[in-house]
Amino acid sequence: MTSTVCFRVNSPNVLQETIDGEVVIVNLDNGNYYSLSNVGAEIWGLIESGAAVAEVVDRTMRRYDGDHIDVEDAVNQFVDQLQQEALIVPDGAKELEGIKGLDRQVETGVDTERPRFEVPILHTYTDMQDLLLLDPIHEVDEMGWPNVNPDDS
Amino acid sequence: MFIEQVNQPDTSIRGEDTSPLVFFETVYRAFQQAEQVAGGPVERFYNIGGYTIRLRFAGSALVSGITPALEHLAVVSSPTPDLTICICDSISTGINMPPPLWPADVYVARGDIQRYGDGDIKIAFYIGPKILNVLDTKQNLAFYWIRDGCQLPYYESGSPLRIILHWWMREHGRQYVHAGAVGTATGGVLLAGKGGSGKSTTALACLDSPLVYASDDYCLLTNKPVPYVYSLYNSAKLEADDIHRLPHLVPFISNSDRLHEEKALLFLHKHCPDKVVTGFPIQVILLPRVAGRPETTLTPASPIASLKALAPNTIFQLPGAGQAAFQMLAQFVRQVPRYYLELGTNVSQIPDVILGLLSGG
Repeated sequence: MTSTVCFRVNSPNVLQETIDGEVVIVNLDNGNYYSLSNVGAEIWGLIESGAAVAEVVDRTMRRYDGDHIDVEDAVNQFVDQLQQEALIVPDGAKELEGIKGLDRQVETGVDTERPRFEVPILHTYTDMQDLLLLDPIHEVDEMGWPNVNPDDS
Repeated sequence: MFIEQVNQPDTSIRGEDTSPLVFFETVYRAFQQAEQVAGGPVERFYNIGGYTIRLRFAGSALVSGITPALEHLAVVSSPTPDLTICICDSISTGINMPPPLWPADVYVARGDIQRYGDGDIKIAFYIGPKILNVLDTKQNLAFYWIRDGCQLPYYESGSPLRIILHWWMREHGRQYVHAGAVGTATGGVLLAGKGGSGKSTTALACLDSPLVYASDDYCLLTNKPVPYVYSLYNSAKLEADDIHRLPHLVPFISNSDRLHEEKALLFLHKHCPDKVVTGFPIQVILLPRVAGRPETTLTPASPIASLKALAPNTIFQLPGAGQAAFQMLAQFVRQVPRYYLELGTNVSQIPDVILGLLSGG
């Protein structure tokens, strides 16, 4: 069963820019950055525009040639991954009256030229975490200013 | 997530107004006291990014640590600077940095103090060297306060006042970026990439050529009216392991005795003032990467690759940098042609490749 939950980009600590259909995402909370292309970038765009997960599945089915269950599983896993990385957060749910009609359109094979569906990939870069992340502060000096963790010095 | 257990300070200010403005005013009063103790202000003026910046030191303790990197931008004094940065240390003046008015669980490595000072008054704190940065964007008045001026880290001497300049310049159409820049008077290249990608080696390899130098790691960028880079610092930093590739620069190293724990730091204006310029239009973005071959070559790079090279390592270093900075950098990489600079082992070829690119060859 696909969710009717909607998500939003977890701003302001998640930054994103799209250029030529590719997306770069920066997470200021964990010091990671990410890139998306092709199916992943399209799904990101749909989520960002407020589409519920069920709508994302539906539109992806319309856009690509693939087994409905495979697409649904891949989209759900991808959304889970985006959530785990705290790049998106739930933003309510909505009624989805039109989905069944759209599904039927896909099933009748209206567009036989659709490209083959490929599992979306979130490319994750962790090489700059040390610029941002800070070990827990264990003590402060006599004026209240934090000291460096002794283990770091 | 950044805190396990802290001992909260018991200060006289607790329980009173803890707004950023109160903190700013407290710091200002403490600075005036420190300035008096130190025998009055020591002032220097610089043209940075097209604006006149006054550095107002409480005594002379920090002058030699802060000013060498800016010397190429020095100008005569002005009664109406665009920004005044008050600079002070606790040890030489005997005046303590005023205590924080926020809890200890709000610090982020890039200096942010989360949920505090997001309005006109910006506040950041570098925990390692204990440097407080405060700016009031309305009054164009800032404070840079380090606990011990003798402990000013070499990287602060190399690129001083980063946070304050980043904050203030972004309000004035200049984006502080982590990038190098070399070129000619009519145009040049921006060198983008994370630390270790070859920005410094590339920039320094160009000193012995017709190319001029604006930066090896930090500079100011604007998109309007045309993409343009402003030099910030005449300093350069090199990994000790890379010095052998540029042996003619060895006499310029300012910290030869500490290379076991510091990068080599060079102040280029002191040794080759004609090579360091204040800025130029940017014609090309170059993404240096080590190719492992003798020759240096160029390969086209996508806008997205350029954005990945330029934006995360800029934004992760600058407190308060967010979507606006990301957007500006995305616009920049869309506007400007881009190439990978496939760095060869023969560094003397690098300037020729860049000159050839700039001349359309």
